[in-house]
Amino acid sequence: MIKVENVSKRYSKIPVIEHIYLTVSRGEIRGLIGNNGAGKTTLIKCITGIYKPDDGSVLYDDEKIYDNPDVKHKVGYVSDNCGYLGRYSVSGMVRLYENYYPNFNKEKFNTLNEEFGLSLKSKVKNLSKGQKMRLGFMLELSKQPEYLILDEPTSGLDPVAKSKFMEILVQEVEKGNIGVLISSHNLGDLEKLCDTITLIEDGKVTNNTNVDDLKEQFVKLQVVIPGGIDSSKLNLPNIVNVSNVGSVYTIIIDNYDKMTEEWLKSKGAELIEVIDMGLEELYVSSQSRKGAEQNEKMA
Amino acid sequence: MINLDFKSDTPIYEQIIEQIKYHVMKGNLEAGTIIPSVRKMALELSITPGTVAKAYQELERQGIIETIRGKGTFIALKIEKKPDEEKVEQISKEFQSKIIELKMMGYDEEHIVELIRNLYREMS
Amino acid sequence: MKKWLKQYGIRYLLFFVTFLLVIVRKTIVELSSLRPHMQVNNNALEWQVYYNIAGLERIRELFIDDYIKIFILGFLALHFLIFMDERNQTEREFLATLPIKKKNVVWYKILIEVMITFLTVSVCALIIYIKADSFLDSVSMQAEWLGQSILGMMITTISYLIMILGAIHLLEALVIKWEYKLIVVGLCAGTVAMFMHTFNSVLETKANSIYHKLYGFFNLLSPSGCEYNVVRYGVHKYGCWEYTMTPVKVIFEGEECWINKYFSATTLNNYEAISNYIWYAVAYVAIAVVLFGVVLAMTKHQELSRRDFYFDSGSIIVGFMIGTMILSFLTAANPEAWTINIIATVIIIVAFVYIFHRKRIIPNK
Repeated sequence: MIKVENVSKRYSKIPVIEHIYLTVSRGEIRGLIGNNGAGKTTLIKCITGIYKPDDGSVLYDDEKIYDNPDVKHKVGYVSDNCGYLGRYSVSGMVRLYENYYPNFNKEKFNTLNEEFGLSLKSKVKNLSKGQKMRLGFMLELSKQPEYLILDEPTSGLDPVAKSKFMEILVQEVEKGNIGVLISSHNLGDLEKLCDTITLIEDGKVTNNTNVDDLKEQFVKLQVVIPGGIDSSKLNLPNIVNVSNVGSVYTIIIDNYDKMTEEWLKSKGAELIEVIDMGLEELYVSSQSRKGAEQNEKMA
Repeated sequence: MINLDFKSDTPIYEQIIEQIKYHVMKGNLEAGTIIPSVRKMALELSITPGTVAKAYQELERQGIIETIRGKGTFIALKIEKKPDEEKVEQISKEFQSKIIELKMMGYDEEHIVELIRNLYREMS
Repeated sequence: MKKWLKQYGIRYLLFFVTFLLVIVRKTIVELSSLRPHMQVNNNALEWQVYYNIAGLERIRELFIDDYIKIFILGFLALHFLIFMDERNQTEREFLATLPIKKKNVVWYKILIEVMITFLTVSVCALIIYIKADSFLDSVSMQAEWLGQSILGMMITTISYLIMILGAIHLLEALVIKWEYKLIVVGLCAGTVAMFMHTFNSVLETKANSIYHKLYGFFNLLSPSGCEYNVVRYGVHKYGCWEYTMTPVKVIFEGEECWINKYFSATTLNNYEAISNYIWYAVAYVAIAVVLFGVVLAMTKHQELSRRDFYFDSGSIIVGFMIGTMILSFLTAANPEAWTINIIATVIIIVAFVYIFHRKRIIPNK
């Protein structure tokens, strides 16, 4: 199991991430969500052993990863910009992996490449972003890791490639019982893949939950209030977002309960209907509410 | 194979359970047939793996499917058709309210039985 | 070791072969300047012997001067070849994920480079010995001490080069960016060269004995028996570099002949006795061991979240080097205004370090 315990990292005394806790078990897919600048990339680099945490530790099965070859054998990492070594060709990279990773399975790589279709002779620096990502994915899977860290793997992939990617990811995760941490902006994709989610804001963890629990916690209601009502009157603290078309109001609520239902009725709500809401909408609306609050504070 | 109605009152995982049972009953899914894994199903249906896991857990509890580590998830070879007392009671209650509704619309005993018989025949 | 070697072995091999050819060619070219001198008068027997032996002085210069310069350039070229994989941040980060300890990587590099140094210098020493011997034969002379001397020079030069290697690794260990690594090492070499030039032309008479001892130590002069002597004439004090004179025995046409007046021969001969040079060699290696030790210890703290230097001390050291260069400039221009020169240099160093610390950018999150 990956254990990130109280990890902090600072640049010249300015904290980028602080007091991060999260875990990933084998067979679990955990999503990492956060706006740009929230510290996701720094956290991921600490988790993959590229950076050394200033405080706390990153443990894989109770062993630190930083400068520890034994652990690095078990961990696959596909980075956001997948630079690899530009001058090398694809087959050169395969040779490098074969050299450094005893578990590297060349047949597996070739099988995967039949799906992804990269030419062995092309140089890494000449590949497109999507191709580099696919190369990275194949190389890392072929090392048969126990854990996989993916940073924005689907950006740069066209819809067909993305769908293939997710299929193969799911297949490999089940086959190898791999523990995955996947960071992405595409919450729609994460929703279909992840068991658990960690939210990062301003370098701190704000939410660490089960995806389904999160979706149960936040509820989207379609409410009809005949005659309309001033939005500012809908000001319960657990109301995340309100929008309306005419007298049909769409309200997103955190922890919807009987009391809230009664309160809405007291404000004149007649028809209250629970509507399915995706993770993306949930996140965006909760963020926009935060943005609105901050704007109010500043004004 | 599974069609979900996101607007329905029925929770998604229950829809999955129902539809799988339906296919098994209809004979579309024979004993020993392999069905997609939790994650594959989640991808196909565009829902969270947790939801599928919940459905599969219940199906496994009811003995309809079984998972063999390393091999996959299959329709159980022998599905015991044992009546679950609690469930039967719940269904009876539901029947009761449906019967009342039909009666209010003018259906009598024969009509109601006829309706049920036709439905059963359609599904078999 | 095997894994790392598989990846970089070929590069090292190619470099070694090329480098060896370059340096051997240089050696042969230099030694071809050995021309027999023939005098007509009988008095000039001593001179005749002397001139022919004096030509062998070129050997010492090779070991002390030319080889050092070629090796420094060679090390830089070698590191250029090796660092080609680390040209940008993504490549460096990728290499950081490979399952190999940082300390081990440095260790392997050091081992291979020391081996290359040893092999190259040994081969050159052998070639020199063969050529010198055949030259002497051609003028009917024999110098029994030549073999020992060449061995001595070889040992001293190898130790010195290992020390230089340590300094290069230490400087490189401070810097993250590939281009900057080589610039910093070049800067250091330039600084040292400038400083030595200034010392030779201006500061020599002002410096005290410790200074001169250090100068001799780090310039491979002392192992050859060279020392700085202060000679006083009336009010003025001036000094000069002197070599320990020892009589040199040469066998010419079967008969013994002694040369003891001129230093060209004795400098070579000084290397015959092990006690003359061995402690210098030991000192060079000891310094090298300390430098390598520091480099290996630094690997634990090198980490990619910084921008330019792995350590804060990096900018201080570079500032110091730039300051020293500037000091050398100023001193060469105006040696008398010593105090002002120093003050100006210190200001420049402080300004440089300050700018660099402010410049520390927070990398992308």
